[in-house]
Amino acid sequence: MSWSAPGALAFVCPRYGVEVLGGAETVVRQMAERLTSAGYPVEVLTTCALDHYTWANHFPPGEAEVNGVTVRRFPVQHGKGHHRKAIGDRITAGLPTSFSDQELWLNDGFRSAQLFHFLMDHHDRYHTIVPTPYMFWTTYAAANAAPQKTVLRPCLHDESFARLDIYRAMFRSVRGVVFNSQPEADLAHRLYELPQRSEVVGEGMEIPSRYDPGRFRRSYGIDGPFVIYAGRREWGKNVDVLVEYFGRFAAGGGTNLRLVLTGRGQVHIPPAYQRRVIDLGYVSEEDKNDALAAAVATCQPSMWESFSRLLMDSWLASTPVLGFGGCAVTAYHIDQSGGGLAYFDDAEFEVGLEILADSPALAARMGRSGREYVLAHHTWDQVIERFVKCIEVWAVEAVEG
Amino acid sequence: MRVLMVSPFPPLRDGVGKYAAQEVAALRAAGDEVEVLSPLPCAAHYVEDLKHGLGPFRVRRHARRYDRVILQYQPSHYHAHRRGISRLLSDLGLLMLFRTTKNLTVVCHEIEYPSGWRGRPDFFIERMAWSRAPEVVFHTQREVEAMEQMLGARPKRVVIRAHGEYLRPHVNEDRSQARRRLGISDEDFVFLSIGFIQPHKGFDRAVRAFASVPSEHARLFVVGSIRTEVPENSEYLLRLRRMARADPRVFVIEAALSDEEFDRWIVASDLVVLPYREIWSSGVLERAKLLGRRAIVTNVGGLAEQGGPGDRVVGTDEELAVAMAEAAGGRPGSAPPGIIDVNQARSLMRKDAERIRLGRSGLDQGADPPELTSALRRLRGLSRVQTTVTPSPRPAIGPLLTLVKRFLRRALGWYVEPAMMQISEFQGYTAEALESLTAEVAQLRADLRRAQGRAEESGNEVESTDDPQTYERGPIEKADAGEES
Repeated sequence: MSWSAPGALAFVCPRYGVEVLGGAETVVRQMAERLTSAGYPVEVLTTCALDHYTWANHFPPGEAEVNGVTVRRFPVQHGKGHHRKAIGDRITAGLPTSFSDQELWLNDGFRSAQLFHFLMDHHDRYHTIVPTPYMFWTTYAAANAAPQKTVLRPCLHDESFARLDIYRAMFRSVRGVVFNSQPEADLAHRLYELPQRSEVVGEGMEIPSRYDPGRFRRSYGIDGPFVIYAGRREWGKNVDVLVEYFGRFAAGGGTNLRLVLTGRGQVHIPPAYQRRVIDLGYVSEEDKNDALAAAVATCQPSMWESFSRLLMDSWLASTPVLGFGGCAVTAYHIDQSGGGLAYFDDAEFEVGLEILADSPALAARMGRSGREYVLAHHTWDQVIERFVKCIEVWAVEAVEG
Repeated sequence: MRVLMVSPFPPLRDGVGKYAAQEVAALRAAGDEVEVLSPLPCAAHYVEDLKHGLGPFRVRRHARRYDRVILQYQPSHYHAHRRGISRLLSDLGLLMLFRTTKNLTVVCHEIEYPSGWRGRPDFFIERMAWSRAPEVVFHTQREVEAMEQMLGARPKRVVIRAHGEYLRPHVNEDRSQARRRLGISDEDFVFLSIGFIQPHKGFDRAVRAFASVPSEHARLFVVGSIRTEVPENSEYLLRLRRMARADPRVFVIEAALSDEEFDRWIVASDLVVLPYREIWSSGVLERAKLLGRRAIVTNVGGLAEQGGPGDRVVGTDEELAVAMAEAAGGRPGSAPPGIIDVNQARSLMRKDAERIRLGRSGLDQGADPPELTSALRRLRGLSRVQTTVTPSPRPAIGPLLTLVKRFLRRALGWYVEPAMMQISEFQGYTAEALESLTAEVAQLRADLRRAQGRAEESGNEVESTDDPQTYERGPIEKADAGEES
């Protein structure tokens, strides 16, 4: 199979590879691999970085093949970072910043001149360029190098950075935008003047063939009921708040529930809660899925999600979700699927936990509803079909003017 | 050939950077291998601070590896100040660079000529620097003459190159398509003044002259954004908006435009109006030529020479009014009646004046309080306490002096160094504390401003006339000022 427009499709992302962790990066890889195996010419343009904290050059520059996908890696240059920190603090605090300061903030972090120059010189090879996520230098640069070939996949969050003028101009000038969820699209419509072409495509989920909760319990020596959070522990993911809420809930007595955390990053567990909160750190994908299947419920405390793979992973394992309702995406999925409960404060969190722990039949029904929801909307076949349709129609429209 | 382009570069929104990117593309198309050195972080291969006298040495260091060096010259990238010791040092640096780099081409976009007595050292050094530049590209002959006249310098080789030589269109649309996308009626005759909003662009002259265009189907769009957030520019934007309120056919659209949008506006227009008060050459005029749109330009810098055969050069505001009226197919007359009455005008005056006062006091936009910012800048400017010995520059006894100093440092190090470190740390922590304080005060001021705004709005219904020119997609219509929100 090939595209109806001549040339290949290029994904542009800050990091790429089987070793790279992160929801947006994983989706790009899975999408590129599936499109390639379906016969669509696809390339990935990315940097040599692996770690998104240091942005150190890890992979060798040049062309490589990763699971059948052609990947072009370009070295990273680092700014001094003084401006980035000072201006970034102002942006985070919601203080006004000028356009030139915003540009300075963006360009003073990691960047890759070679990637930009490659796109400048060779964008004719591609009928469509899909940069992701919106906030990174690579996305801004790609959209700047060839805006009318760019279809943004923003993975947008409702955060202060999304309100910067530099991104308003970027969203306005591209060929099209594909969103992961309806709330993300709604947010973009509120914040920006979008191009005529925009569509909710969603993200696809790999469906595990089997779950073995017992294996997880045996491997990690965990018995008794527990709730789980599986994912990165970063600011905005609100894991510290989850630990605090759960710690207070557990300290109230009357429950033997524990909280299991998996994933990369630091989390502070106060000494008083350490007996009830177990941090396993990074675990394999298989272990994570088995852990989700073994849990009473999955907690999603994040403030900002554009899709939330954790919700989908949990529902595929037929486990209900207790999610933070202040995140529009989490609230939307929970509402649409009937696969869990949304909380807004510590009191609701505690009551929600009690309901899910005390009513196994209800929890099981919610888990089943969640799984049906994922299978009905978020399998890879459905997502690829929607994505390919957008790309093809928009590329042909662009060629025909 | 290996070429080094010294210039700001995309994705920065910078006119010189965009010019450089198009030149890089043309050089590569001709088979050259091009790398970029920029004074600002961007998609350049190398980023260096090019100011403060040492900058040109950094260019020189890179230049050795290339067959040719092209330097896009704009004063603000090479000089931190307009005069004084700092300017003298950066002029000396440029003199060294221009004199010692044989394969250098300087593309001159703008020059700040020193004013006052011609015997001043900065005058002398700048004249020497430009006289020794191996090759300088200007966009008009007028600029060459200005250099000779104002500086008494003529570079070794002068090239006049059309500003638009490397330009390529960013859109492939006709007038109707562009208008459809911008929501402009095909029936209207559209004047366009586009670019960064700054007083020297003279967009106010276009609005004033447009009042004499009698046609009801004429429209004037002033489109652009503020490049540098200084009160002068913000006040100018306010002024333009205020002027636009008096004529329903005038639209001020403040937007940071992409290259495509910029070209789309030009394609959608019938006539580009560039009533600049001062400029050497205009990138907008080149894009208008490239996209086949006529222009009216004022007779400043090299614009008269840069304009094409269909363009019209005017000297005064009266000539501008006549030119605009004639272009729209008529003679100067009275514009349709204005849309605000005296009471509304008074209210607008009070509101805009208040905004300007707030802007100047630093309250607007939550700007940093000036005294704190200044103290912080001075504190940050202090270098950390040195713990190494600087070699003595004295020719004969220098090495001996350095040796003695090193000995003393080592002998007293155990006693002095902890104190030095404490001073350095204290300096750093104080700067940090001041930074937080600055941010907090700015936030408080912004809150105060918002509170004042709310109080003002609740007490005055005419306040809803603010920003009537807000740009919306779809057909552009202008409601009565009293109804706008």
